[in-house]
Amino acid sequence: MGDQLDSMLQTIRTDLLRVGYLCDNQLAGSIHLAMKLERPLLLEGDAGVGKTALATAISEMVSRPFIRLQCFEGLDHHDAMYEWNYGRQLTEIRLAESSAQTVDSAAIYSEDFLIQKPILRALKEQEGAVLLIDEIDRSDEAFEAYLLEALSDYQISIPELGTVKSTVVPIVILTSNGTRDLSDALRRRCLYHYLEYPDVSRETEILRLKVPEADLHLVEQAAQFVNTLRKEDLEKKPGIAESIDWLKALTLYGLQSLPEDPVSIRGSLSCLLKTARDRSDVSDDTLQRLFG
Amino acid sequence: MSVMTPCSDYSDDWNLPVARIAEFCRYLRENGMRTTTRDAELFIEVLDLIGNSADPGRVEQLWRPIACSSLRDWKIWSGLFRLFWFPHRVKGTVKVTGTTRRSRQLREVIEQAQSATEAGPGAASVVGDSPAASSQDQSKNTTQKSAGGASVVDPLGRDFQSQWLPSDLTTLERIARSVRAQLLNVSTRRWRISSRGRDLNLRKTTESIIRLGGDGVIPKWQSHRRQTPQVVMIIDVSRSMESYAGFYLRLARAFSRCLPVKVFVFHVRYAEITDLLVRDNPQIQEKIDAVTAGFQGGTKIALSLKNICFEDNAISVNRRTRVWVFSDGFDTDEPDQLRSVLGRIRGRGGHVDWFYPNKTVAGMSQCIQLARAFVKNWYSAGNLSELETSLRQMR
Repeated sequence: MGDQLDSMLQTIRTDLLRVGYLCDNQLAGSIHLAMKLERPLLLEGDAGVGKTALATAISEMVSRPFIRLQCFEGLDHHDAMYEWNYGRQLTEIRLAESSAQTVDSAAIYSEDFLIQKPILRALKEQEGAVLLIDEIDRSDEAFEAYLLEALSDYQISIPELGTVKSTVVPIVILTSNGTRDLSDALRRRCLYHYLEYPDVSRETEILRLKVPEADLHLVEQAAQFVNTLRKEDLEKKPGIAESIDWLKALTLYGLQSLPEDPVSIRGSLSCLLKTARDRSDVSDDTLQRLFG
Repeated sequence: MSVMTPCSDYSDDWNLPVARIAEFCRYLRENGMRTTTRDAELFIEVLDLIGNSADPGRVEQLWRPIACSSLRDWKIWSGLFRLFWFPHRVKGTVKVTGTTRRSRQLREVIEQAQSATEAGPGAASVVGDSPAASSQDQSKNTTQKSAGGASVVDPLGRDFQSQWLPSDLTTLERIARSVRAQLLNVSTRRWRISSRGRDLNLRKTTESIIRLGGDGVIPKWQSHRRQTPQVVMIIDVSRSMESYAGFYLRLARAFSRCLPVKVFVFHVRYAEITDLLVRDNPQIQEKIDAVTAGFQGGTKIALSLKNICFEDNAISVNRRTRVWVFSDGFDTDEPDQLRSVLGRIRGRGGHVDWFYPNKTVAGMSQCIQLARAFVKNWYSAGNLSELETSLRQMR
């Protein structure tokens, strides 16, 4: 059985690599469990480590529709789950009145008048969907409570209509950047995976995958530099997305390796350093030291 | 792409008894993880998927996303798994000789742990007040931290026992309740749509009228957005704070009863004691008092704050965060480190309030002097009356 599992995890890794996402064994295991146990997967980690990218990659891997719900402060169930189409309902009532018919309240509160929002769409998707609830920590605590039913039983209770249950359980990915603590109730319903910054060798592989036109030596140097830079006391550590941007910038400069004098590429560091304090903290001397 | 390899460095005699899973879950809960019965069921489901005699490394890997629910859990998982299932492979096994001896008092246990701490490098020197401390000392301190404080046994994480004085809480609880009224539900200038609001949101209401073709109105109500602060109490329990730490811990307990607070204590490293404080048990104060027993100097304020707020993500710092630091400000970190950490907290919108036992800030350490700009309020809290006066001014 162990071999069978190994081959399944290997398949997940290979399939994700095919769609451009490089994952390790631990992450492949978490994805495998999320699909097998039909549990949402909560991904935490610093911004730019590939949480959102993983959800899109899984969607491509399993060839299911990708549905995204971007969370923000003030998001409520009308934006996330469903809303009644009052305009259409009113028109229907007017039409009935004009032809002297009685209006059946059950008819105007049917699915025809329901506007499906991302979560409901994901539950009703016939072939199953990949639902990304992005940056859940940006939503209000009250919204988390709305989510609980959808995430634990894959159903939504609509007072006027009844309970809508999913036919094929969607793969649900939640991401959080940790701007606020999530409730225990939500965490308990999810599998958990913490995405860390990759080590140098893995980052090199990712950079090679994402920027194939870059020279291999430059890729290795860039990965090494970014890795060292993350160990500095920065307000916003550069993520993988930033590394990719920086490598693309260096490639645009026509570089095949990092120059002897790092000050000459200081301009490109805007791809990596995203706050004024970080930019001022990484002085020319610091750059020299980081370049080794 | 690399070839998959078994991720185990465990022994070969692994045979996982399913009956011990419940025991394992209890063990995880004792170590602060929130493992539920459903998690235990999922552990078993995973075993059904991979087989009972599967490679333990694989089991560890697949149980991890089920058992963990935070970064802290994620970091301690491997250690706990090994300690439970392979205790014989963990160094420091206790051999029972059959000799009986009297059980040690809690204070003795802590002092013994502390003496082990002192035997190692990194004994206290206040770098914050003597910038001449060498970088070698710093590296020693770093080594000490990476070794799990000074010893494998962390005094902050131990189970403490002694007496609790409930009468002390009455005054503190009164203070805590009055602060609660000041802090909770502070209205902001911003509006939010709310069905319980009393003001009409004209834009949204007009939109609804247009959407209904002028035939109906769906009134949209709004109210001021209310902000509930996330209070984080960080209490210095190092030797220089010996006279005050017990008092502040009592205060923390009073607050934890009426406010959603997180409480941490620190000396050279930190520990969260929120769960300990919310338990309603007459022996808890003894446990809380014992937290401060026998702790030595070498306080690392900046490092502890940095770990709590940023490195370990023990809290999320945002504009709702109120960090209350209870410390005299004597720090063995470099003087400008505290300024840097407090600056980062401020940069994320958090507020830092500093409660100090001294009469004035002027006489405080160099690191405090440097970091003053990032502290929103300074409160003198050397005794109960000072604290009460200070908290009355809190805003």
